[in-house]
Amino acid sequence: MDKNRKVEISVKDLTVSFRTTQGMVRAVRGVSFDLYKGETLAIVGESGSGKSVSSRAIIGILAGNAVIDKGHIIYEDQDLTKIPEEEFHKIRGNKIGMIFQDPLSSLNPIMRIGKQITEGMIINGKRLKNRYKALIHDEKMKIINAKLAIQELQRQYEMNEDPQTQMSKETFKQKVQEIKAQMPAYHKALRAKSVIAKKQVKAEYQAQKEKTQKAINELQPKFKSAQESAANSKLGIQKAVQETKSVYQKELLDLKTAYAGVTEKEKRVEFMTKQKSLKASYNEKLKEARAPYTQAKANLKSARAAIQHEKEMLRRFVKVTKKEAYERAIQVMTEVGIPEPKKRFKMYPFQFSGGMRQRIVIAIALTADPEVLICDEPTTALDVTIQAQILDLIKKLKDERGLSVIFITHDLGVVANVSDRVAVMYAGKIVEYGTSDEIFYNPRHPYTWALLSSMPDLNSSDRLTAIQGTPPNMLFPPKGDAFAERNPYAMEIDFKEEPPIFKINDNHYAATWLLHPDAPKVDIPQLIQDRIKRMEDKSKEMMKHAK
Amino acid sequence: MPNSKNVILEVKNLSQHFKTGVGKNKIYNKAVDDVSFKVYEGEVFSLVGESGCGKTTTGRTIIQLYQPTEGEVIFKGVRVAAGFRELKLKRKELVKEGNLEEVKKIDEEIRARKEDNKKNNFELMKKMQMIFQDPIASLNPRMTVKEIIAEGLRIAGERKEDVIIKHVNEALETVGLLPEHATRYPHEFSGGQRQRIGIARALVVNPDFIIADEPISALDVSIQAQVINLLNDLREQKGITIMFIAHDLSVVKYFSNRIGVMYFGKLVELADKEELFKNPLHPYTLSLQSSIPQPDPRYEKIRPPKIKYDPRQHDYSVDKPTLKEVTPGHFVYCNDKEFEVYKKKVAQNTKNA
Repeated sequence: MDKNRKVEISVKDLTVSFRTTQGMVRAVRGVSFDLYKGETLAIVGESGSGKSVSSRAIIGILAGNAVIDKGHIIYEDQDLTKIPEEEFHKIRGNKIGMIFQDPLSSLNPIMRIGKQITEGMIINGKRLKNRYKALIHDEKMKIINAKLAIQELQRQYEMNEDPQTQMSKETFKQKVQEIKAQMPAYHKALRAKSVIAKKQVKAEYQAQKEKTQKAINELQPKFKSAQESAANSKLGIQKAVQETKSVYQKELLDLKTAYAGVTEKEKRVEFMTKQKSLKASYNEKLKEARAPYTQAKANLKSARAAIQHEKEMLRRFVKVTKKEAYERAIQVMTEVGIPEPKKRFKMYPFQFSGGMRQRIVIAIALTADPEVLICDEPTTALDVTIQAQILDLIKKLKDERGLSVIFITHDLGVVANVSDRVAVMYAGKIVEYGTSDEIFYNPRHPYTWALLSSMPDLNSSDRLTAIQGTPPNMLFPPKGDAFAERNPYAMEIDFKEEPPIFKINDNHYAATWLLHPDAPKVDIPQLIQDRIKRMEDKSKEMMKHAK
Repeated sequence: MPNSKNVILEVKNLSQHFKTGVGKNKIYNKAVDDVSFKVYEGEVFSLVGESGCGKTTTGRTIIQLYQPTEGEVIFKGVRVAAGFRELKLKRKELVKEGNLEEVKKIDEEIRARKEDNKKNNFELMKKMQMIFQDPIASLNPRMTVKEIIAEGLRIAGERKEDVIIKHVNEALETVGLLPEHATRYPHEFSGGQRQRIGIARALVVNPDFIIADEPISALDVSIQAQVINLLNDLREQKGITIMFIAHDLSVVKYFSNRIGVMYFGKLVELADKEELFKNPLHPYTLSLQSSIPQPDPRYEKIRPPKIKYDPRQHDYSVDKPTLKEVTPGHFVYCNDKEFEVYKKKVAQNTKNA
């Protein structure tokens, strides 16, 4: 594969099972893929093929009964399957964001939109506290790792029933004791460090506070003088205002007496216009008279605002304030294309349409500036027109922010639109992966064929070939190729042995025995060949038009 | 393709308004507003549009799950549903004027319509059946598959148990299920099988006309094809007319003969599928077509930009729009000015072709 590009997330041989009363359900059985920086990887498959489960494993939100049997998810040199929950808080949402399938059920119906968007920012935004936690992080991790090591030992001891390699009870106990012996030292170090860290953070805060106080002190005289001048000018203008008022009243009275008792329409109109102009000129004069006061008031306001700003900055040093979160929320909402974000901020989810709700969900994911975005069927619950808008939005955001996207869907039309590379999943395994061009123009796995041919095409009315049967029950994963039972091209070996992944070219791999050199040659089904030909003709034509 | 030009269902100026609020806050939600179309025998007629545009309401009104506000539904030449709000308003005015003879006539008309709405004609009404959108919610979880399917037969008056079992087994076989499935409960089936049960329930009374309300949008890709193929077989083997309600244009194009496009309670365009895809006239149809995702990555990279539809682009302040026939069989909702523009456009297109 492309070795020059940076790998963002690398999933290696991931295996996830769910503990149920009937037994272990093997949802994901050895999935490996790399997500490169700035690309979109689409995972396609039927429901129950394990595509959602693998993405949830990446972000660490598997259900309680899920077990990661083996495998690694490497992100920034860390194994996400191993790190403790505390560590995960830093990654989930902040580094890897997720958009869920149903925008209606992923938003809280009795909470205003604004609160839902700012919630995460405010909860995660306790800056001083985070600083303190970061300072004592190393010491804390030592303790947690020691605990994990003991657990791991125990698991190894219990799981391994082979008498030859099994460690004896003594060695196990000894090893545990060794680790446990170091614990008091770790705890002591943590206590010592936390005292230091507390002091340090406090000192930092004090320094900032003093700085702010100094700035405020500098601003204070200006504020005081502004206050004074405002008070003075208020007294100063009173006389002038009074004068203009009395002049106006006199003039008005004169006018009224001059036109008293007049009933002719023309004269009345004349009176009205005169009265109006009189009022207008009075307002003008009043404004003039008040001008010094208004000026002083504005000065006072700006001086007060400057002090407020300093105070706000101090508060922002401690945590993400509501104001800061509001500003950020409005910014993100504008980015995802919500009109009138200030008004929308105060609304409830039911007041939004489906597309708008999905935009809100995307906005929530974007507030933390993630580098990787996992979209779990973001358009399945939406209409065609809205779907097109959301897809365009995701593509735009990806280009603007340089996001890497994992896009999970079962709609192949959507896949062609958004993805750079495609992985087709079936029964917990990736059966074919490659660039989207390769997958759509040169599909090799019978399951990909079946998926493609069960989709209605705009330009033909051939009979669709439905996939016979249903996906296998993952309580009892089938021996051999999982798709063999539904596969018209299945050979004997498919029922006996699992196919390895065959390389077709540098950008295209598939797991099917049909690619084995000894296998009989099977062509791509006629239906798909026809369609590919049509697609090629069409895109050629389009190219001509574009030129 | 439709074998004949026999009209099986005719909808005339159908309106369905929902009332919400009381007194000052009373609001009429015009879910379906003045919609007329005909469905011919043996064809598949599709209604498409975004969610909330009234396509499901149209279907449910036709089969009388709602009482229409205005307009008539004529099935096999018999009026099966009719609304009379306008008549009532007229009657009020006439009473004010004191024109008692006219009032009597209107009273009779209203009485006749009410009588039609009572669904007395079981034999006729059971020829019209519906398949619902959500295969999970539309099947009663406490009834066995046999009971679910037999319910329609029992309502239609069948009492003999052996006849019922025979019919149920036949229906199950038609949709590709086994007779032993009859004793199971809906939760024991997968999504595609549940939708088949829904179809079997509709088929058991030998209908001539089926309203399929988004039968595949809740299903998986591979299972969608099974259901579409099944519906296709039914049409070919039994000659059942299908009214297909969907929002996925590629499925609709694949499956139907004629397509009606709905937008906010109005039927904005109605044509043969070839004609509709060749000469889309109404701007909403254009925007719908431009947003169909294609399973072709090369095309997707160079595809023309999607068109956004803004209903404010029409100026209907003076000239009120109606459904007009631009070319034979191709109707567009427009006013006179737009009508001329559309006509020119069609002429241009045919010239280019």
